Amino acid sequence: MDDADRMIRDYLRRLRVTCRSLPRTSRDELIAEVTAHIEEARAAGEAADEVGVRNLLARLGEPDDVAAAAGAGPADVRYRRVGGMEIAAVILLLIGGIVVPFAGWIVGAVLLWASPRWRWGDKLIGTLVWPGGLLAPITLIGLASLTAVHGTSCVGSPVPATAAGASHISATPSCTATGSAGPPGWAIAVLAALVVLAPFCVAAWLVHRARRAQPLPA
Amino acid sequence: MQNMVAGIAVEQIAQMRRGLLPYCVLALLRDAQRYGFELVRTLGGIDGMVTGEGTIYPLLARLRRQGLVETTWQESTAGPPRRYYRLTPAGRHALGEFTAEWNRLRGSVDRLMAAPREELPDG
Repeated sequence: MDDADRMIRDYLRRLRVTCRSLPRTSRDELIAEVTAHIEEARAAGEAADEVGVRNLLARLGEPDDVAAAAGAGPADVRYRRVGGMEIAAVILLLIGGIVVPFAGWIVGAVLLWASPRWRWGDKLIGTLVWPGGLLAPITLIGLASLTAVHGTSCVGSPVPATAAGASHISATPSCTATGSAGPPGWAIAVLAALVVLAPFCVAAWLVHRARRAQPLPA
Repeated sequence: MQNMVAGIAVEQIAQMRRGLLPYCVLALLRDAQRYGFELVRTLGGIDGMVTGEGTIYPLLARLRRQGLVETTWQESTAGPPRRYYRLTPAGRHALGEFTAEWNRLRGSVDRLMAAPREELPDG
C-alpha cells in the first residue's frame, strides 16, 4: 500500500507543477477536485492495490493533459516578451552609472520601481546590488589596485620601524602602513570578481523575473 | 499520405468531442444534481466521449465560471463532504438551445450519410 500512496502523491505533485501557471484559485480548486476524485475511488475500493491505483491514475490521464485542459501553458511557466521599459531599466542599472555618473543609474532605479513587472523583493535586490551599478565596484577596484601598486613599491625598501612595532618587527622591511598586511591577494581577487559579477547576476535575475508570466485573468 | 489524412480526421473528431462535452455535462445534470466523481465516471462510461477523466474537472470549473452550473457542498455518508453540481437557469436555457440545434443537425447529417448516392441532391 505504501507504493500506492507514493504513486498518488507523485501524481498530485506532478499535477501541481504543471498547473503552476494557472491563477491560484483555479489551481487549488482543480487539485482539490482531483484529490477528492482519488479519495472517492479509494473509498469505493477501487484502488485497493498497486494495479488498482495504476488503473485509476491512467483513467485520470497525464497531469500535463489535465493541466492543459485547464488552460495551463505547455511548460510550467509561460514567458512573455520583456517591455522596452524593463530592458532600459536593467541596462541603466548595470552601466548607466558609468555612462552618466550616478544620474544614469538613478534613472534605471526609477524605471525599476515604476515597472509593474517586478515584485517588491526584486526591486529591492535590483537597487541594493549595487547602488551605482558597475560604477561602484569599478571605482573600488581602481582604488584597490592603486593601493596595491603603492604597497608593492615599498616591499623591501628600508622603512624605519615605528615606535609601536619596534620590539619585534624592526628588522623586517614592511608596508603595514599601506595595507599589504590585510587579506592575501587571491582573496581580494575572488572578492573583486564576486563584487563585479553580482550586478550581472542581478541583471539576469531581473530579466528572468520580468519574462515570467503573470497569472491569466480567470 | 493516408496517415496524414487520418491524422486530420482524428484531430477534427477530437475537436468535435471537446465541443460536445460541455453539453453532455449539462444533459447529465438536467434531472438531478450530481457530485464530481459521479459525473466524471458517468461521462467516462460513454463510449468515445472522454480520453482522460481528469480533464473533466477543468471543464466543470469553466461551466461554473460561465454561470451554467452552480455547486453546493453536501455531507456524504461515505467520507468527506462532496461538491454537488446542478444546472442554473442559464445552463438549462443553453442546454435547450443546444438540444434543438443538435436534433436538427443530427437528422441532416444522418440522412446525408445514409442516403444512397443517386438520392443526394445535385451540386
